Amino acid sequence: MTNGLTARIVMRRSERLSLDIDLTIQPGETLALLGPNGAGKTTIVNVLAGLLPIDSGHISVDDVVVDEPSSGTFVDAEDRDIGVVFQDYLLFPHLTIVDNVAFGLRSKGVSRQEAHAVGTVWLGRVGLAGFEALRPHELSGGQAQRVALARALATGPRALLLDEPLAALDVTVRGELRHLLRSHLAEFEGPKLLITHDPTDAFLLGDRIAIVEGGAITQAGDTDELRLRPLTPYAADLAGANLYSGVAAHGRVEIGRHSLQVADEGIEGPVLVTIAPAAVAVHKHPPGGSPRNAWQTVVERFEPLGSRVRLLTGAPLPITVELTEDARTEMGLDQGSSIWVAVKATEITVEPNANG
Amino acid sequence: MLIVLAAIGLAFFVVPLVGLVGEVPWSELPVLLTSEVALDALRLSVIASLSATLISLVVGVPLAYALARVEFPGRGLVRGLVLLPLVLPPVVGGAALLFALGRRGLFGEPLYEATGLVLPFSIWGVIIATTFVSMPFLVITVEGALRSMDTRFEGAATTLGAGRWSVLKRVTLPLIGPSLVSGLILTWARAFGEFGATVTFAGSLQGSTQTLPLAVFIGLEANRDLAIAMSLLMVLVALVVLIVLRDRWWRAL
Repeated sequence: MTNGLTARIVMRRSERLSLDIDLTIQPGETLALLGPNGAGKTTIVNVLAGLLPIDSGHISVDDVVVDEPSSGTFVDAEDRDIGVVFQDYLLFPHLTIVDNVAFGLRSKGVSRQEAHAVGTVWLGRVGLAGFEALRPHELSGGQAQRVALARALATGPRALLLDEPLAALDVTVRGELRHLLRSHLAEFEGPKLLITHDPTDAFLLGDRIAIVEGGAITQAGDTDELRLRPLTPYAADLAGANLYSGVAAHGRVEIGRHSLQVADEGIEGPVLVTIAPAAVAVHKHPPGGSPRNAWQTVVERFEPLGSRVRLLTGAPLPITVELTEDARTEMGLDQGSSIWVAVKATEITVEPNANG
Repeated sequence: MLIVLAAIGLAFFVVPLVGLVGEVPWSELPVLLTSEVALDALRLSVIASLSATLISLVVGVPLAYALARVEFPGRGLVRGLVLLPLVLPPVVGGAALLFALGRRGLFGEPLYEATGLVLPFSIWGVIIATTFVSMPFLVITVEGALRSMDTRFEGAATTLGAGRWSVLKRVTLPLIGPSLVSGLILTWARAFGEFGATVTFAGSLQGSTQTLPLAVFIGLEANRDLAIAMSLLMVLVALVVLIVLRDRWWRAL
């Protein structure tokens, strides 16, 4: 056992609820658990939080075993000291915002006055000073998310679990909230688990990424490993995406010294840009027609991916490209080959990014 | 066509009320309403209906909680038993109470021999009969609210360190609060108007078991003006309750 959070979660409830997963999260580390809906991600949150017992395996936090069926150990959720930011937040609708944040401290026997004082401080930290007396239904999604984060952190938990914290937000506030989340995650010293189905969140908030599919972790590693060497089609689709931060104006995005044309002409300011590797076309010669985003570059690395292949190109804009093995052979591509890559403006996803 | 049908529907409620108000002996009203019979009946009605509501709260809410949240064999049967008084003619309920709790009854006889307590034809009888017919209203309302509430709120409270009681007090009950109050109002209203089970189980003894509805029924034979005055009193009490609680709680029903 080590400090932080270690777990082997085995659940055999039914076809749908079947899990066999190993997790280790170091103190201070954020593990992003990336997976499609229905992969059992919320179940993982529930068992770690103590809302559901595991069938076999073990869970320990800071060297304390909190769930181990073989030894009959089960620590109730109320005594686990694990902060949870739930999907759709679950703010108590009958309580004011400050009472929501103070709820955990009140449960621990802190006086009403002191709990309110701490709650008010936390509301300030998440940028909601002055919202104390409001009720949850008066908040926007982004504000509710901030309250949920403050509520989970206010008790000073030993570990933090975040279940799809940004999924319910619309694109315009997601970037801002991601930024807020990132700074609070950086300050939190315990192990952190971020559950998400959005690779952007996983890349930007996770120190490590684990991909969970069908109740098992199919791949774990850092961003570069996942991007270049995805082990499953799902990982290839999501984790392999090219992600850049840039600045948008007048239908173009500046990424470093490179400029891309994008379909959204209205977007301005810092943005995140994602491009799927399969959406990038490769040519031996300057492409004809009208792909506006085309540039010449060099193949730096190859990674085979079954009948397909991924290649990583160099300057001016390093990009991961996916093509069939046949196409590669046909074009006679090798490490060092000079190529042209082209991306249609409509294949580029752009969203506002407060981190920029 | 729709409006005609609606008007006929409304007439069912308005016509009897008009008939009643038209018969009220206005000048004698103060005397009639302060008569011993009327005051005794009012006092008993208030005591019995509030007692029934309180008992329902104390034992009916746990019953609703068990039905909504605890898996146990025969739960459907238990729910059926709880709902039975809603369908059963109150007279039959009163008779059943008599067989069970009467001085010669299955449970009443040992109780009498052990303590000397006789439930029928006493104020305890009135309260028991009233509770029997009115508690189902609270149980079904609260059970429905517990079933439809999102139990993840309770889970969230637990992760914040709240124990079982704390969750119940600070999350569950407040979340079902509106339904709980609605259920209490329905329960009280049913208890206040209760007649059949009470008259069968507790009789109609002025000062000890004769509630307002019983006094009205007896009065129609013996003192018609008094019966009308007490009927008007019940109508007024009902209206006041409806109006006071209208905005806050009826929406949740």
